[in-house]
Amino acid sequence: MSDSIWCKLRIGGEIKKSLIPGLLKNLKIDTGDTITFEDFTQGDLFKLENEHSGQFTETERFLEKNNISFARNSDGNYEYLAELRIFIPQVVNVAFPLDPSGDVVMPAEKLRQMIDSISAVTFETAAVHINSEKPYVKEFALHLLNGGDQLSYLKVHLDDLVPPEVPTLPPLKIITRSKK
Amino acid sequence: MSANISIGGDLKEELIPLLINNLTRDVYGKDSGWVIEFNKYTDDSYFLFEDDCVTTFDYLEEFLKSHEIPFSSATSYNIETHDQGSMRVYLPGVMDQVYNTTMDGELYLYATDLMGLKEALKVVAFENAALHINHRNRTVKKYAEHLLKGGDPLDFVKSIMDEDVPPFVPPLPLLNIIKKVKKIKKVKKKGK
Repeated sequence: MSDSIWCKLRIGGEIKKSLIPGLLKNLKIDTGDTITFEDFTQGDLFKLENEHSGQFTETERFLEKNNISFARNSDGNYEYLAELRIFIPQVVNVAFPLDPSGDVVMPAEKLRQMIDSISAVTFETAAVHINSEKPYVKEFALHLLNGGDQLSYLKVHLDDLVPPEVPTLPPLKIITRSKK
Repeated sequence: MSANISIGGDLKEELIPLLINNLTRDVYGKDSGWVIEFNKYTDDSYFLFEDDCVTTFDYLEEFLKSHEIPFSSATSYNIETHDQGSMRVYLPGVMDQVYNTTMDGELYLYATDLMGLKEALKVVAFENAALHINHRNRTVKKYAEHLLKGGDPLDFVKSIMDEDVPPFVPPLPLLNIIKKVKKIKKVKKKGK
């Protein structure tokens, strides 16, 4: 992302207290500001906004490496759609494109091609389409000829093309190392 | 921020002054005194007009629709409001579709219902549909109800997809200016 794009970082889940200095160091690299962890911890999450960077490159890398859950929102600009990136260890690591009101959007073209292939090919005509130049038509024809049905074909491609539901970030929990 | 409009199809020549009036109103406002030349923006295929300061062609589009003249218009990303671009394609009797577009012209759609559909196909089956009729996601709930009423899963999937996924953008028919033909009265000669 280019400069001068608003973004917001939310951190949740479990975070070891010993990792907080490293987190703040990376935040300073991304924002240029010295940040006190407690000042930005509101309710269940750590929340920080930045007007310029568009993303928190170093901090996001640090959080991912240390398996700490986070969500980052970025505004769109003339070149990019707005974005929500969510990382929850072993659950999800996805960047959702958003419209300006915050709804998740997705590219339409592949999905349209897939739907049209289902209208164009039937069990009876499948053999005619196995050399089609349209990839989805060809694929669907082969799927039918191999004994597949329409619903299973749709399920596979919906899984592939449609983003998962946006998960909720778990509440922040600071883990302090107990002394033996 | 910019907008453009392409006009194609059959256009009666006598409608051109009105078309230009509406376009001028969109671009310069009412009674501006400015005049846009029709021929300057017409090539062999279409009437094509683009302006960097205009965001919509409301008056012109309304005029074109009322006279069933095909057009496609597009608005680019608005840096002040953060509105993404959009494209409208009007083909009389065929479609009047608004598409959302990114800066590079790629079409996109809202994913919420399709995300719900994906979830519905994963969790709901004939056997457990009753357990999902109060699901928080409305698409999952609708799918469970559909199955309980004896509906076919494929019909449901197709209906959601047809509703949410816009059709491909069809090409605009080429502009064809129809000139009024003057009727020539045949005068019968006397005595014949």
